[in-house]
This record gives sequence, structure tokens and C-alpha cells, in this order.
Amino acid sequence: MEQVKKKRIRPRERDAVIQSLRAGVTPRAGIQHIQVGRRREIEAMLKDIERIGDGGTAFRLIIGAYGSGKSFFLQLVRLIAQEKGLVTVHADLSPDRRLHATGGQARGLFAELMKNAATRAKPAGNALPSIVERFLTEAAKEADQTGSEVEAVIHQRLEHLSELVGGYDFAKVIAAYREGHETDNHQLTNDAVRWLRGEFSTKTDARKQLGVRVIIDDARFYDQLKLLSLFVRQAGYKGLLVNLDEMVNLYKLNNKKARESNYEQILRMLNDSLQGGSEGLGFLMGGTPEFLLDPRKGLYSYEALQSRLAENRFANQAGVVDYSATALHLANLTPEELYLLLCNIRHVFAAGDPANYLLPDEALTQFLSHCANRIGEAYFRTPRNTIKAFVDLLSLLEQDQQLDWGELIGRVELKPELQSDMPDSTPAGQGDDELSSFQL
Amino acid sequence: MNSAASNSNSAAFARLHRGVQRWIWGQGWTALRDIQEAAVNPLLAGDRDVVISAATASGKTEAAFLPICSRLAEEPAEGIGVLYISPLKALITDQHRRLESLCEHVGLQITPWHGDVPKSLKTKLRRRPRGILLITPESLESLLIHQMGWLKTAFAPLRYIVIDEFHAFIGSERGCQLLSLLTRLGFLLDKEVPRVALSATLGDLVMVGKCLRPAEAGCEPAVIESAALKSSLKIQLRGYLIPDRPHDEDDNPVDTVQNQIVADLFSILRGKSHLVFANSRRWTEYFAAELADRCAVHALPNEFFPHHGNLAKELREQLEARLLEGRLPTTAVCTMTLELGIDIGSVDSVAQVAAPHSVASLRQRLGRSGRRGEAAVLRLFIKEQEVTADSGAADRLRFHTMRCAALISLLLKKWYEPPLTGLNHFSTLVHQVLAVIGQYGGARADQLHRLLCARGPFQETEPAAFAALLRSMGEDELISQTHDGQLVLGVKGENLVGHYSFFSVFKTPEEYRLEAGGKVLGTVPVDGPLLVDQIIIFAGKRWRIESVDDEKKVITLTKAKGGSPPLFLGDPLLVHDRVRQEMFALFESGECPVYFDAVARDHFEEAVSGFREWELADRPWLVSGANLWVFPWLGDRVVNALAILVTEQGFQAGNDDGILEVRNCSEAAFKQAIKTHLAGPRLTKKDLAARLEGSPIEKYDKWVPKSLRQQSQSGHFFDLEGAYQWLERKTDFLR
Repeated sequence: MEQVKKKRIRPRERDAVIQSLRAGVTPRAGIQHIQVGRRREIEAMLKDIERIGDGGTAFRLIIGAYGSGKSFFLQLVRLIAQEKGLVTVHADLSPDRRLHATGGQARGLFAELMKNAATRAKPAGNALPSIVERFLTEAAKEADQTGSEVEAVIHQRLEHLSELVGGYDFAKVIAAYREGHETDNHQLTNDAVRWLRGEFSTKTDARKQLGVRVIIDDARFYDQLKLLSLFVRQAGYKGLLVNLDEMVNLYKLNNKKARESNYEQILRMLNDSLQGGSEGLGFLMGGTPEFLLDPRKGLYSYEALQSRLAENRFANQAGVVDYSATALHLANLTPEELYLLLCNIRHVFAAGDPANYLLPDEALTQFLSHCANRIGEAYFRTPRNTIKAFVDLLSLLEQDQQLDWGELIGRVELKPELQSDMPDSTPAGQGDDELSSFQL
Repeated sequence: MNSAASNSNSAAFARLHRGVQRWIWGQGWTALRDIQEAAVNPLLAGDRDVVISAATASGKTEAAFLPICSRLAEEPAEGIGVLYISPLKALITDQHRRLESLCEHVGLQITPWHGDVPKSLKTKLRRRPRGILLITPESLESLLIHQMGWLKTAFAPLRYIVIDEFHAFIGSERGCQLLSLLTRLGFLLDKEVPRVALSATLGDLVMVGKCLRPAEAGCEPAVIESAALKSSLKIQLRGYLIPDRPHDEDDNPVDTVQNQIVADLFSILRGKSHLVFANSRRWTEYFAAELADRCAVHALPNEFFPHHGNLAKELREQLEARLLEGRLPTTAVCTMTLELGIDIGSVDSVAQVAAPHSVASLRQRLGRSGRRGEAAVLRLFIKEQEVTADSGAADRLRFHTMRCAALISLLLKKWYEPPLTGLNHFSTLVHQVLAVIGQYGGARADQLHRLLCARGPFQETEPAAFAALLRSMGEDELISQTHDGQLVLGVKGENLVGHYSFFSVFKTPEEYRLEAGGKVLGTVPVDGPLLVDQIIIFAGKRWRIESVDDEKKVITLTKAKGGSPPLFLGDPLLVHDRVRQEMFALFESGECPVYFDAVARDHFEEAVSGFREWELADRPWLVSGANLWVFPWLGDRVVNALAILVTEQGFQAGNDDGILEVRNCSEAAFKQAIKTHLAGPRLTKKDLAARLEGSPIEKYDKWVPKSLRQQSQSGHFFDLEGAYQWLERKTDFLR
């Protein structure tokens, strides 16, 4: 139980964690305080991050059933990567955000990624302007040291990019930003950032505002990420980590052609990563088992991907997990891990001071067994609800310490979580019980 | 029609927008018509559904759009304000032309949207969604599945949904799809939009209102009905007598009566455009070929073409295009395929070479006739068999002729078959489940049920039946389930949804091969329920069904022994109770309709004298030879159910055109059997369903579990309650 005796927790982090957990979303900060287990997986990720920092590449599929904590895990890796000096971008895929498209959905994904660009100094996102600023500062510094012109340094640093597809225009936009910066032309700097974020939708506008002939459209999605990874390294960061979650949305595309084009894009990323076609760039993709394994509609339906992603047969035979495999399978939390998780949450709630614990250890056990009685083993698969109920319980106790926790636990209501892409009209799970737990 | 108050003192006119008023002046109208006047207030309020009912060309469209455009002009919407849905592409083109200038006057954009609309128009609307959108249900389905995001923002300010030709949708698969689409749209937009139904004059308009929003009882629509008279109708019924002559081996319909009908058709129809309705494909082919031959013999260009579901699509479309263009005289000899949403413009007259089954379909067919302002012309060519010693009751009483008379009489009384409510459209439900999953990517079973069955038109589907339906779809890889319990499209479902043919829910019936003793006899379309032991007539002979193979689409037959038919369920096209009652009234009155020709008159006289001789006004059944004939004077659903009940008691019985024929049965035995049955446990709907084969009939039936198919078919084709009620009314005769 080494996690429990951790250092004190800053109030800001404490509140952020509690609020996120109550809302049922993964916390953005302070996540390390509640993380349990996954030691080997995190080690593997650390190696990946190190490799990216050395100018190498990484490509991982994080595969886990619903509720196994994929998003949580991706978030954790993202924070670690920021700590290690990487720029991170992340987004959930959706019907409007895909890797490949012709109707603007790939640009939509790119724009979302850029909106969420984060660094250690700017963990909350929207870090793109500060990355450009840092690039310019670094260039100025170098110019100072070497006694050369800033222009020349910038030119020399961006020359490397120009060899790539779209690099020339990229360099022009950076130049436009600098010009705006020097001349206090906010419109120009804003336009440059908008261009980098993929928010220009017509070439005419781009030419008028920035003098470049191209925009970031669906077709340039991946090339632009490659450019960005080189750029952030020139700006003094270690590299770029791209987190893509909810990949199951590609599996759900109901057009076979569209789905295969997206899988082809994944293949391209994977090949580049294996063959060194990119630099300082890593991809983490979170998806459910059917996204990977379904032989008709999943990644395995795309033959070139299946052979590259197949599980390590030797590891399987030996009954061990190969943590270096491209597809990393996350197991559901065990009851012990869930117990530890509750301990950690209690710890966060008490701001890291065991003297302030609102509940004794036996209450945690009782809470878990209450959940197990309520919704059976399903709660291991949907820890989100359990945790939410637990945080709610702690909040109540915090407000009124006279309350009897035994009675409160008895009153905790839990419902199995229901997932759907279709919005609910009336509160879900009303009435027709026969269908709410429907199995084909 | 322009006799009402002048514009200046019409209160309704004053409420319209200036631009709309200016357009009305520009049209040179001196007054609004009655329905146009009456529609202004409820539509401007825009807070309830409205049904506008009037004959064709009586200004229904304007009645709806004058106030609608007014409101849109006063309160412009940042998006599409009106959704207009029409069953026909041609009607959309037509309405677009009609409404364009009105919309111009108030600065509204109006966009037609269907398969043939140029892409540029659609792109323009996509970029800047405004005004009025004219669309078919199929295109709306496609938009919902493929453009849900756009639809949600573009339709956000939607104020009205106008449905044209609403009567054509009622009770059909397509109507069910339409209602489901409207429910899904309301769900997507998270608001209820007033629905405006434009409909031909129908008997029971309250019922129409219920069909407009079936899920919500109690929100009655405003009903606006035209008092103006319908455009005129010219009818002739020509009788033909088939002399008694043994059929030749192949039953080639080459007898003199057929030749006579062909000759008459040729001389009457040539030179203009017409539709000839024959009730089966075989006859369609026969008439078209004979008429084309005649053209060749007279060295004239051919203007007669067949049209039915089995014909190659290109041939059908060629014919439809030729009719629509209207440049060359063209006569299509068709089955009911031309009755449904296909654009052919209007023709000079409609001919029936077989007795129609329902007022609804007769009216629909008639609607094709009568170019603007001209009278609709209907000619019926009705054959009757010469009466012999072993003629059946229906032949003796000239039931074909009498049914035509009853149908026309009801048509003139503006009665119209109400749609069968409380039916399960499982095939359409399969379609809608796929569509909703395709639309959202994934959905849970309980959500689907809530949307489609609790809120949508599939009210009769219980959760248990719905679960069975989903499992059946899952077995066939139409859908699959992810780990988190969501249903997503399976491989097959994806192919179905991805294909352009997915958007429509109706199809032409499946052909089954008929085999007897290992020999193939031919094929028949299956559009009604099949039962083992059922007797069907094919190639002029009676056959008993041995077995039905739905997979291979084979029906195995054995020859039925001679004599009158045992279990014989009538046509799949069902005659309504009211039609048979009207026939009874005609028999009783004995007044021959004026539009009968001499031969038809003879038939009528024969029928009436037969009716009197048998004292059918006072007795519900009579014995003829070894058999018993029962006359319920009720619809086929009741008679079919009676046939099943009597069969339960060990008799062989069948429905012969509304007459229940019981073989080898004395009156005493019949009475005893009925009394025993009524005293004992009654047949339930479930028992009845289990007796049916449940062969797939509708487009997606093959994915509906057999038990549900049986259930839905038993509801469609049998009225058990009606049968028991009739028996109870006849207890006096059972003593």
C-alpha cells in the first residue's frame, strides 16, 4: 500500500481531481495521485516516450474493453510525456472526426488535435502560439550566441522542414507569424495560428490573409502532423505525442470504403513509424477489442494491418504479456486494484493527510461489497460509476461529518452504465428492462 | 368557384403577408377559395396539425403555402423553415414550378431535392440552407443516414412539415416509413413540428388525422375540407359472357371473349394515352402482346406496352418516361405497380380488364386519368362465366359485376377504405432499425424500441417481439453487438444500408416456383399468406399445396380432386366489409346502374333474380348439392377467418369471393358444428397465426422471425373477432 503514504497534494490539484471524477471524466491534472496498477504498461510507455525524445518514433494501440480505463491511461501517458518535454495533442474520434475523409472530417480531427495541443507549461491545451513563440525565442537566442541574423537562423531551422510535403508553406506561415509579432500586427499572428490549427476552410482566404496557396485540408492531415513533429523539435521540445481515443468510431463507419481508407491511413502511420519515415513522432490510439479484432469490420479485416498487429504467438504460448507489442491490451481492474483506487481517492480527498480521512478502511470494503451486491460484477467493468458514487459519498461526509457512513453506503444507488451513440430522450433504462440489458 | 367575397373584405386575406397578397393580385384571382380561406388561421398560428382535403386541382397547395409563406416572410428563419414531402418526384418538379413565383414575391428560397435534381442545386442548399425544401421520403431517409449533422443545424428552425398526397401513404409500408422518418426527425431536432397533410377527399377525415400522428392520442388536427364539387367522372361498365367450354390443356386464353375484349380495347384506346389495369402479370403480358400484334397487323406503330414488376427495369423506365413526356400516344398495360409512386403524368382514360378490389385502389387509378380540367374516364371490361349446373355461387350471382357496381357506388359516395390499423409492419421495422443504427453509428436496443415503437409508428410491437426481431437480425449478421452492449451494423447490414436501393421500403412480390410431381409448372408471385392444404388455381387447374420452401422459393403441389374448392383463401387483395354490404344493398334494391352496357345489364338482372330466388335477403346460408354456401356479406378478412373456424370443425371450407363454401356438409351438420364450436373454447389469434406458413412477403420479411411473420399476416388477412361477431348475430338461424 505504498501509494497511500504519498506526499501532500496541492489544493488546486485536489479540487480538479474531485470535480472531474464527480463529472465522470478523466482528470486532466493530478491524475498520478489516483493511478493504480499498470506498472509494466507505464514502463513500456516511458520507453516509447524516451525513444520519441531521441528523435525516434512510436506507435501503439491501447486496446481494452469498455471501462477498462483506456482514456485514463492515455491521459496519464500524456501527462508523463509533457513532463518529459514532449508536446502532446489529443482528440476523440467521432463521426465528424476521422483520419481520412473527403468531407472535412479529417480537417475536423486535425483542428481538434491542435486545439488540445499541450506542453508542460501549458497543460490545459491551446499551446500552439506558445510553441511558435518558443521557436522564435530559441532562434533569437541562437542568433545572439552565434552573432548571426535571426532571419538566417529561422531560415536555416525551417529548411529542414521544406523538404517535406507542405513544408514550404509551413515555413511561410511561421514567417508571417514573426512578421505580425515584430510589427504588432495581431491580426496576422492570429491568422497564422488559425492556419496552423487547420481552421482556414478556403484557399482564397489563406492567400488573402497570409499569402500561402494551400490550406490544411483532409488530404494533408498526416503530413501536417509530421511537419509539426519536426517543428516542435526545432522549437526545443523533445517531440510530439499524438493521442487518439475512441477509435471504435472508425469501426462503426457504415461505409466500407470510408472505413478502409481510414485503416489505410493507420497503416501508413504504422509503416512510417516502423521504417523511420517520421521523426520525433508517436501515436497512441485507444480502442475497444472489436475495433482491433473483428475480422469483418475491425483493423484485422485489413490484411496488411492484421499481419503487422498480430499478437506475439510465443508470448501467448508462454502465457506472458509482451509489453513491446504494437497492440497493448489493458485488462480490467481487479477488485484489489479497485480497492487501491478508492484508497487513493480518499487520500486525495484528505489533501494527502491521513489524519483527515473521512472513512476508515472497513468502509471501503463495505462500499465495494455493496456495489457488488447491487449490480454484480458489472461494476468492475464500469468503474466510472462506482468512483462517481464514492466521490459523492465522500462529499456528503465532508459537509457533515456527523453522518453515519454505514447507513449512507446502504443508500448508494448504482445503475449499470449504458453506452450509446444515439442520444437518450427520457432518462435511460426506464421501464423496458427486457431491452436495456438486451443481448443478441 | 370565384363567387366568394372579394379580396378587399376577406379577413383571411388581410392576415397574409404583403408579398403574398401581391402575388395573389398578380394571379388575377378575385377571391380565395373556401379551403384557402379556412386554412389561413390555423396555419398562421402554427401550433397544431392540419389536414386539408380537396379534389385535385382545387388549390390545396396554395391553401397550405399562402399562409406558410406569409409566416416565413414575416419571421425569416436562419435555416430551412418548411419541409414538403411528396410521394412522387414528378410532383416535386411540378410543385416547384408552381410555388417558385410565390416564393420569389416574398424572397423565399425553394429547393427541390430527389435523385434527379442537379448536384449544383443541392450544394447550394447545403452551403446556405434556407426556405422551403421539397423532398421524397426516400431522399429524406438518405439525408438522415448520411447527413445527420447538417440536417440538425439546417432544420433547426423548421416550422412546418407538409405532406402531399397523404392518402397515398396511409396504411402502406411507405406510409409507415414516412411516419417513422417524421418521428426520427422530431427526435433529432428535439421538437415537434406541426404536420400539414394535403389529401384527396376521403371519407373519414378524423381517421386521417389519427394516421398523421398515431403515437399521440388526443391531439386532434384541424380539418379543412372543400365544399366545392369534384371534377366530373365518366364511367362505363362493359359486360362480357364467357361461354361454357372446357379449357384446353394449357389454358391458353384464346377464346372468343378475350379476342372481343382485345378488339374493343384496340378500337377504343388507340391514338391516345391510357392505362389498362389487369390484375396479374400473365394477363398484362397477354393483353400487351395481343394489342401490339394488332398494331402490327394494321401496319401501325406500336403504342401498347406491358408494365409489371418482373419486367426489366430499363423497359419499365422507358415506358414511364414515354408516358411522362406525353408526346406519343402510349398505353401501358399494367398491374398495381403503376398504382404506387411512379411518375407517369396523367392519361386520358383508365381501363380495368378485371374487377378491382377496393375503392382506394380504384380511386388511385382513376387519379391518373383526367388531364387538367377534363373529366376522368373509367372503363371496366368485366367477364362473367356462363352459368352451368356446377357453377359456383359467386358466378351465379355475377359477383364480379356486382362488386364493380358496389365499388363505384361507394366511390361516388366518397367513401374510402380506412387503413387497417393495429397492424405490425415488421418488415418496415427491420428497415427502420437498420436506418437508425446507420444514422447514429450505434444504438441500444431499449433506445431503438423507445424511439420507433413507443414514440414512432410501430406501436403494436411489444419489447419481447422487438427483442426476437433483433435476434433474428443478429443471426443473419444484419446487426452485431459491441462489448458495451450497443448494436452496430453487421457486415450484411452495412451492405444493405450502403446500397442505394435501401432507402425505399416497398418492393414487388417475390416469385415462387410451382412444382408438381417433380415437374415445374411455372411461377407465381406470392403476396398473400400460404397454408398447407390451401387450394390454388394455376394453369386452369386446382392444386393443393403440399409444402412451401421459403429458402428455395418453391411451392410443391398435388392435383386437387375435382369439384368445388375446399380451403381456398381468396385473393391477397382484400375486399372490405363495407363493399360487400354495398353489394348486398344493390342486390336488395335491384336497380341497375345507368353506366352498364346491355350485356352488363343482363348480368345484373341474372344476379338479382338469383338473389331473390335463393331468398338471400333473409337467409345467411343455403345448401346446393352436397355443399353449403354461407353468405356473410362481409369482407374477406372475416370470411377467411370463418373458413379457418369451419375447417377447425373438420370440414373443408374456403372463401370464394366472399362466399364461404363448405364441402360435403348438410345444414344440420353445419349448425351443429358451429354450435359446438361456440360453446367450446374459442380460437385465439395465436392459434390462428400458428396455422399460417408465414412466408416472406414484404421487402425485409426474410429477417423477421417466422412467428412474427405469422402474427403479422394473421392480423393482415384474418378478422377473427369479426367472424365470431357474425356467428353470434346469426344464432337465430342455428336453432
